[in-house]
Amino acid sequence: MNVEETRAYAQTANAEIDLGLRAMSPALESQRAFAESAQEVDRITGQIGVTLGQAMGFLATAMAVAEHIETTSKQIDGLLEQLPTSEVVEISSPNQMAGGIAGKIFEQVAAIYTRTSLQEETTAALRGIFVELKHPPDVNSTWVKLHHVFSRIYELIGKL
Amino acid sequence: MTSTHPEVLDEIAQLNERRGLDVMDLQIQLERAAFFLGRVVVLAVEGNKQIQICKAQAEAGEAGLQASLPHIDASIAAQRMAGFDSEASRSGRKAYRRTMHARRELDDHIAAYAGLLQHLNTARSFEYKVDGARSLLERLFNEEGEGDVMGRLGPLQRTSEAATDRTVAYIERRDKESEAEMAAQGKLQEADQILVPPDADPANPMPVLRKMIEVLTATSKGLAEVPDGIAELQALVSTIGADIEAFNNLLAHWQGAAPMPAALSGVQGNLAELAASLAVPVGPEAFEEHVAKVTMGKAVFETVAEMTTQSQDLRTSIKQRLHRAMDGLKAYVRRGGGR
Repeated sequence: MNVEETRAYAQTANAEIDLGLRAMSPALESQRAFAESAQEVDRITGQIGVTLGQAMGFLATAMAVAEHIETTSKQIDGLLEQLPTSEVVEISSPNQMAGGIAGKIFEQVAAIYTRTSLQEETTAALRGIFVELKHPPDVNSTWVKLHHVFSRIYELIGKL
Repeated sequence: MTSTHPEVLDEIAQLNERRGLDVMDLQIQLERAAFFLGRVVVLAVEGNKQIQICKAQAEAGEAGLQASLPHIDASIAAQRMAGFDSEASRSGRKAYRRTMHARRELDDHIAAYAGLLQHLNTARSFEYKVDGARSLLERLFNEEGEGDVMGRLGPLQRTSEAATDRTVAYIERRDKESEAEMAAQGKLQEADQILVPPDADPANPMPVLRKMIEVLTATSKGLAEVPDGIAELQALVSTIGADIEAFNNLLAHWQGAAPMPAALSGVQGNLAELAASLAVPVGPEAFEEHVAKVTMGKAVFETVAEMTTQSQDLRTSIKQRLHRAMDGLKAYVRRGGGR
């Protein structure tokens, strides 16, 4: 191989590296964008874990309150049995199933919190919570408001 | 029983009131939980969007790296043709090694992207997808956490440019050496013809020796351009008994610092004397003296050959040719040249 050919090959080698870097340039931009997006997903995942924890905290309180309602209802039922049948007492409609519903919601959210898996499994679980709340055995004004809140959640789930 | 009814009724009323408050509290707690669950869903939607962006960027990244591969491969092939992988210069071999390393790194990155894309398409949870993205990030960015693939390929480009510059310089230097060799070969052939001219007239050696002096002067000029050669040449001048001051004047002229001496004394003068001594008729008793003078001239030629070429092969060739030439010259003298 003569000198001119050698020189030409060396210059070609350099030019090809330059072309390679130019071709790669958009990929490097994508890489940076990817890094930012991945960090954002990471941040969101952490935030979801925290938010689920907060939801579970309120549900735990709700379950305790619901159990208290159940206990109170049983006490009222016991006292009502002491009254003669001739006595008629007007008692406002208690939510007999409140404790059970709150407990189920708590269990489902706790399961989500434990897994922190927020794709199909999560949306299915959230839908399950919504179904429980949409068809409570004892519907009254308390649940109507909750239905409104949860129907918004349902709409969001539908977009996932 | 009747006395207890008011107390029972009162207790029922109190319990019912407390239960009503509990129901209100339950409503508040569930609404708060619902709010945070709603936030979770909103975050999940945003997370999904970001994952889709990740996926699109990973696809673009993989495509870009794939596009650069043929060029890097072409560069590697050209570097091999240029001799970067074997000879040339150290910088050439360094550039070649770095390019090969970058090529392997590209393969690794492309495989990482492909793995992540498959992971994003099959993983069922954010958590797993985030793990995949984190894994890719660790592969794309180096352990020190500084720079990215560009950070490593940028220097490669500079290395390659430097290698090209140095290799071209190396080639140019080789060109010059090659030209010098060709010139030396030409002079040698010329010297052969001068020293053993096919049509030399044994009765008139002066043109031959004059030409010899010219060749020696020309090659000495080349020698004078080599700093180490100057001292060597001066020593030689002294060895053959020439006028060192005259030689220095001649040297200054060759270097462009002084006019040509009026008379070529020193080396040229000495050789002119040699030529003159060969030109005049001499008896058999003076023959050995002539041969000794010719031998000194041969030593000068040999030294000039040593100093004007870096090629061992060429030096050997020159010496062999000089031996043949001197043998021819001696034979020429024996045949009666100059008598």
